[in-house]
Amino acid sequence: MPGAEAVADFAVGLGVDLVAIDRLRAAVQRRGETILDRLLTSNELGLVRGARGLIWSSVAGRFAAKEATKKLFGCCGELARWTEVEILTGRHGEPRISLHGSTREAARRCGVTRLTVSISHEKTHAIAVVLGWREQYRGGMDEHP
Amino acid sequence: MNTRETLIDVLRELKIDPAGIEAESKLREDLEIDSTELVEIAVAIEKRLAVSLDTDEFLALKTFGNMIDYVDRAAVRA
Repeated sequence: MPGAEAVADFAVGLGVDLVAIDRLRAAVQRRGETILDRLLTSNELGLVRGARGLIWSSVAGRFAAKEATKKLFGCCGELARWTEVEILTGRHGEPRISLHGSTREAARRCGVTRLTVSISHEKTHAIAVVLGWREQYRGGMDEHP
Repeated sequence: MNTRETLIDVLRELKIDPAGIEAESKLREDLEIDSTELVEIAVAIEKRLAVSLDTDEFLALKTFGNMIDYVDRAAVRA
């Protein structure tokens, strides 16, 4: 926000999800990659492909992060759409969430100005936790008590 | 084969036991269907019935009856 100084962040929502990697892989093997096309954006599909094909832990981690985001938004009665929640990679390799379209508007209605995500996985499962934050500004119009 | 029978057939393919299934059966709690399986069911139904299903709306369905109604409405639109 131009001319405004962020003075504090408040956590306003939390979501978590756990994904069984084998179940996801089996579903894609049975029905084809059309399943992934429904859940991941083209940017994400590029990120989950390695030299030896799909990196299933990465697919499952993104799936979990999207589900966790959907839960967070669901707590304030809003819908986050699968392909409008994009799990990208930050400059240090960390996951970061980018919202688009109606889901970006839903975030505004929920009072969420920023999302942070953490993803972890081992052989069988991937887990993601998403925190929704509201930034409070000094001298801005979007100041909340 | 009507929509209900088609859905039950798809559930069997996914090794989900449809025994005792009713319209009021909750997809996640009673039938223990997770999000991955719901996406797979949507893809299978689209292929069998030549309908188009919105993934976000389909995954938000609560009961088996909701699922039948949603697929029937999609079939009317197709």
